[in-house]
Amino acid sequence: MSDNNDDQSNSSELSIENRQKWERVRGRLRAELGEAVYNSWFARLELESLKDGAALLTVPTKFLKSWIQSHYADRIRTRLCAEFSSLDHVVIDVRSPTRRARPRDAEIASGAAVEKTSPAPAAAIVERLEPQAAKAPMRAVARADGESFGGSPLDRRLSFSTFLVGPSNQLAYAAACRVADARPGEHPLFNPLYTHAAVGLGKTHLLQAVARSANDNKRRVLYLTAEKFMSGFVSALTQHSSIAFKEKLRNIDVLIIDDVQFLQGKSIQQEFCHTLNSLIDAGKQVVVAADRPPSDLETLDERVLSRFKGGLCVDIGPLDEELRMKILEARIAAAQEAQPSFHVPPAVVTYIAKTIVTNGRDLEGAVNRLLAHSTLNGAPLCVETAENAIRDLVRSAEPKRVKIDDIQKLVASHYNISRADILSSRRTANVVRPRQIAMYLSKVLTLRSLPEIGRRFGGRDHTTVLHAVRKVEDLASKDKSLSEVIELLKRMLAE
Amino acid sequence: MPGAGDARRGPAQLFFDLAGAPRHGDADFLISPANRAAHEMISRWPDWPDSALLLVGPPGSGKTHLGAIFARRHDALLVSPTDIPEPGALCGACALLDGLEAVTDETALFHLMNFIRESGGSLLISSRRPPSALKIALPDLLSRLRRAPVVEIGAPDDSLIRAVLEKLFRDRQLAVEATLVDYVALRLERSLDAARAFVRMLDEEALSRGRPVTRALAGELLQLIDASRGA
Amino acid sequence: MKVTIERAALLRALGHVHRVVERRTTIPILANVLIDASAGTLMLKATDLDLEITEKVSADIGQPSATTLPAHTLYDIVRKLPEGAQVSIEGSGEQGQLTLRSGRSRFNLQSLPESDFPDVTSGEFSHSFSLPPADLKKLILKTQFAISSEETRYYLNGIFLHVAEVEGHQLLRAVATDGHRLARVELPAPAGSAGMPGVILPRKAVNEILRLVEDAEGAVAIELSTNKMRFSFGETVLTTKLIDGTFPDYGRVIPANNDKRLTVERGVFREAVDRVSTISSERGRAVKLALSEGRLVLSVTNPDQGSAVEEIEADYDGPPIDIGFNSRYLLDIADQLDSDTALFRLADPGSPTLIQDRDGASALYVLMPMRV
Repeated sequence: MSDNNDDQSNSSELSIENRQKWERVRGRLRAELGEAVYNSWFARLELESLKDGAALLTVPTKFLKSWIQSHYADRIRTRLCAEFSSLDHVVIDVRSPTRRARPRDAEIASGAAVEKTSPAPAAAIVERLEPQAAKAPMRAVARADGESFGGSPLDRRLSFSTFLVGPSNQLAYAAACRVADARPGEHPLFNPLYTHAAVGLGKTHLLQAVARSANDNKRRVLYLTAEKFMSGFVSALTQHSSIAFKEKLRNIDVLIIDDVQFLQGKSIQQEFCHTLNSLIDAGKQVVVAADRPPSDLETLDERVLSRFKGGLCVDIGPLDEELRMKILEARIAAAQEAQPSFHVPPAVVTYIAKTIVTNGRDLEGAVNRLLAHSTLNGAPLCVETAENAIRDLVRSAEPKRVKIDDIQKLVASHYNISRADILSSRRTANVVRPRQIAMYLSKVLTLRSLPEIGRRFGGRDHTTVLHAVRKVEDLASKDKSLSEVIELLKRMLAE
Repeated sequence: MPGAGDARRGPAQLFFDLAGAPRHGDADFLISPANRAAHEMISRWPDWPDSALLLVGPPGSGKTHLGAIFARRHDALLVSPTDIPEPGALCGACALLDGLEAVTDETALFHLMNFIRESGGSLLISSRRPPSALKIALPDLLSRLRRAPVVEIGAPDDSLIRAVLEKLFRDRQLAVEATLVDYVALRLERSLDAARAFVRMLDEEALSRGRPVTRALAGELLQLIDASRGA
Repeated sequence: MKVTIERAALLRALGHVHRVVERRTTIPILANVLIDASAGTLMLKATDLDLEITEKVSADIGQPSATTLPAHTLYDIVRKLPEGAQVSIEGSGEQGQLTLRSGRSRFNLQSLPESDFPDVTSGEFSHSFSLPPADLKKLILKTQFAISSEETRYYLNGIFLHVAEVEGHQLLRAVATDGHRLARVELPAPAGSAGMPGVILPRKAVNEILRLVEDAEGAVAIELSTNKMRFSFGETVLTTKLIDGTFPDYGRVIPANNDKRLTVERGVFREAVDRVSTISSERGRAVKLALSEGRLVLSVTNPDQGSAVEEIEADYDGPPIDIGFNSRYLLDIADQLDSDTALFRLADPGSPTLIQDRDGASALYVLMPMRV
């Protein structure tokens, strides 16, 4: 099968009668296969058109399409023919996820490139990661099925030279280097090498570094994400090219699979287990990574688990402060290459390293926020601006909504009067000014309308509030001590 | 689609829903201190700190409008939050996902973000709330969202509310007095969502009654809103 | 200037142009009509800056010249002159004064220079076509009643004219709506109209065109561009600016799947609506239509006055349904229909109802119900 239909607008509208028939087909499939199976595979299957004896069914993803074709095509055909008598064939296709869908050649070519340049597959892929790729317009593509089993692309930034080592990842780093540096033909020392860590601690970095380095070492490397492994495997099955698929696996020296916790489905796990066994038995190196130790991979097949446990299992722990500093400095230096004016004072680096303790990706997020902040404001960074820039990384909750009640209480206590005084109709100077300040803060810090604020201040008119707001604005612009008091009250309310 | 003025009960003339779609042109976007950073960051593409950028702001703050400007300028792919395409089906320069809070398939977004980063593309994501405040179950996804820089659209100031009210009336082709705009701006909650809802209500109520959009009618509706809040 | 002209010819021409002149205008020249005498023809022209009408009449021109005179005063003078009289207009020698003589009457009139008279409608037209007077009249008459009179909704203050393609046929459509009801009438598009921009013809121009088309003999020549439109009725030419707005996408309020069909005798229906709505204290109160098999019950309830009910025969075989409408709107539409029966197609009490003479009639009306 070649490209999908890239022009959905031609598909004829279904008549009400045909819609009902299609609903009956869905009902039958649901009854026959059970709720769980139906929901996982058929919930998003749509009858797109009926033309010239052909029914066009569509699903949102290629994976679904492959799966349905290989497992349920006959059943669907039988059910459809029972309802639509004139039907002679059924086509299942991927529907465009977006408004536009144009076939694109480059993607197909890059998939093919992996096969043609098998001596150095990683290098071939690395080329298309150069920044100029960013200029091509993005669009949905309909890709030929058999092409999809290429390696996953490697990020050129993720090499051993950019991997920063500390006590928490020392062991994993050493094991990865050992695997990458092995000579072609040398029997693997740790097989498989199983690395696990929580998100953002550098698993993928380490795996890609192994891929790149082993490839430089003249070994044939295939680096795959679990998702890529699944879609490649399924499409090989449906193309009846699983022999070629296995042949390809047999011809590599190092298989690297990232995020194995995403491996799902019985037949896929069986195939994975099979692949693992045959590669390990043939003395080929296997490297896998997951977000948890093998014993916590509940959904994985027992035989796969025991294979994992047979190799070396290393984890990457949380980053210590020294490593966090190193990572930050490296990130900042990388950002400075793109934007030389970006400068982060040492106090800010220390502050971030002490504050962001979670993982490397959050540290990257912090640098991204500082970069955005300094790009947009052009002002030098200080600890205070940094605190503001990264606050969403530190606090899980949004900044709290200030309430008029809180404003009244705080202002009253600051001026040593009672909240009742503020709400009262008293017009003595010691009450009037705090009341106006409280009204001003209510206008500025809450979204309430003027009439609403007036009501909350003892049922006053909105013009009174407006007068207070203007009065306080005017006074604060002339009186530095008052503007300082207002700033202090604002800060206290924000906390 | 027909609509009905809900502002009052009892017999009422129903009316056609003739209002056009809001205008999302570059010139229609009103820049103010609350959204200047977001607008500037969008305009700086591809000079972004990261492959993804998060645009965070409350409903009606102009996220969709900014997204539309971005998508039109750079021919971005529009990714539906409820139907995220398989990453293998994408490539290239930029994509837009409007409504992170509406995403149903977290794994699909995770794969998409990875793919876009790997292939050197950019993804603009809009969200009502920062990712850490959303209930994201997939740690891998959350961690990638947290890596992305955030530009926030803050609460609008009074001048923006006025400008937005004028734009909303213009979008609906309603010729109203400038004093009406001032009158409403002073008495309405300071949020763009409230402004949008109010202009719609005013337009529909006037249409239902066959009356012009006047300050008197606006005042009547504002009182109704106040009364329903107090109740 | 020296002009001599028959009173009847002058009155007819002034009758056409003087109505354009606003009664209360703050710009003095706009209160005047331009009079341009040259080579056997007298040309009259009036404008309110949006709408302009000119008319040429034969006259005996003694001395060619141009000037302007107060439009309504001039019209009233000529109107009061005896039938069959001759009128002469002559420069009095004094600057800014003209003398009008007829029989024993003599009027000295203050004039304003012709050079001050605004010319607001010059420019090119992109499309031109012609329509028989009857067709033009139909486009206007069938839709005019639905134009919105609410000034803040300027984009609805006129008739939308555009060319639509329906199943390969080009149709010229006129559409008007006030948000409560909509009227649409269509004709085969005349040659030359293809590709014309959709335009909104303002209410005032619509009223004047309707008067001029009554007197028209031959085909009306129509020219338009995106911002103005011209109608030529022989020697009378009306040029108008168009409404600078976007007419709504009205197609989405025309229901396509209303499946409940009601056919009534139009006259019987109209009279019944008129009778039961007598009980309403205010204009346009809701009349409730209760449909059931073979019959239609109309009722009005007014808490202050009482109630009224009338049952009429109807061709209806759908499920029973109650729906309310503004009685004024029902009467307006009943008056627009041409045939003896009226066909209603309904969906539910909250959705637009379609009303026509019969399926596929060239005019259709959509009416929003009232919540009762």
